[in-house]
Amino acid sequence: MAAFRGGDRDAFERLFDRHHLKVIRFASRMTGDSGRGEEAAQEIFLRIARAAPTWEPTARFTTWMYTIARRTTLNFIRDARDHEASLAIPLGEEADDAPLLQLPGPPAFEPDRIFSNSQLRERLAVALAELPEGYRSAFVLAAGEGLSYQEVAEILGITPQAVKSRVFRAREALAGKLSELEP
Amino acid sequence: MNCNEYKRLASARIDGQIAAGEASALDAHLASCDGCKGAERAMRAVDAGISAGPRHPVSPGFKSALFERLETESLLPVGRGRIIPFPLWRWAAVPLAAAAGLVLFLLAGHEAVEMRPGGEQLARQAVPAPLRAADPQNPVDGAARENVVRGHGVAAPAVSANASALSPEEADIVANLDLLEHPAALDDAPAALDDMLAPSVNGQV
Repeated sequence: MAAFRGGDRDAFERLFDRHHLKVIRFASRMTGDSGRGEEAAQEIFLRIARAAPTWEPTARFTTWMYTIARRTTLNFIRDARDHEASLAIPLGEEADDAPLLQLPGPPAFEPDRIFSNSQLRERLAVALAELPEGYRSAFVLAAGEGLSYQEVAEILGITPQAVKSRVFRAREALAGKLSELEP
Repeated sequence: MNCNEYKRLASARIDGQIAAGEASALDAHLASCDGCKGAERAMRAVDAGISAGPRHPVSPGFKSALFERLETESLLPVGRGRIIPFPLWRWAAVPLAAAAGLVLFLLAGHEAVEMRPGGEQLARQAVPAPLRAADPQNPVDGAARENVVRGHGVAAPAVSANASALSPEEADIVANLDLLEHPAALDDAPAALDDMLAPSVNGQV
């Protein structure tokens, strides 16, 4: 990144080659569509290039990158359609006493079966895109991108404990959707 | 710790964000609670579906389109081998430059001939004075002309009565003008004169 800021084109190419799949995957999961994900990813890289002068060498690049990626994707989604309803995070989402969904029993869920069923995967991706943004971002970053709760907390500007709660809520909600999809 | 908390722990373990002590406590609870065990299985199924896909290859033009946009916004130096869009009107400069170059070349060539050091002297040497006097219409001495025709050679040109009024340069100009008007006089020159001319003429080519 420092080399790119110095006008090194090859440095940006290396940066792109190393991270573009992550960025496209993140945007696709957030939007629920690979085509829109790529459009959002183009905007994300443009913003990364524009924001390069503001990058601090002390900051971890991926954290900075995902912060830009999330904000850009949300703007992209907002520009595409009105997401006011799904962006709202319900009150008490991080409270321990919030009501839990009734998750189906073991026979309905077999991870291997989900993994091999492309139709289920597609519908799960749509269900993910319909989650409230607060849950979705936390879940995509932690479960999808494999970031630590601490890193996700820095990106979202919340505590690691809140990340833990949001990720759990997202999993819970998706499991509920999955039970509707499963015969 | 209640089932709600154990389910949160189960979620955190899927993300690898659980301490060793918490993991053993969770395993002990799951061994005795079918509800929490089912919830954990359901959450693992969700992660399996999300991590598996859907899978789509990146569009072939993704990178080139992005880099073009970056270059357009001057966010990225132009790559090697990339052709920069060139406005059509700028191509008009090409024929104009060629025409200007041709004019300059012609002007410079003309001046080069005129300014060539010693050029005038060489031209003068190419035609000796006797030949210059061999024109019947030339206002030079008839005796000199007679000598040239008979092959006697090299009598100095004599100007007419007013020769004394001409400077050497002026006389030379007059002699050269005669030669230009009657180049056939060269054909009548004696063989010795041809030999004498040859090196000089060759030197001019």
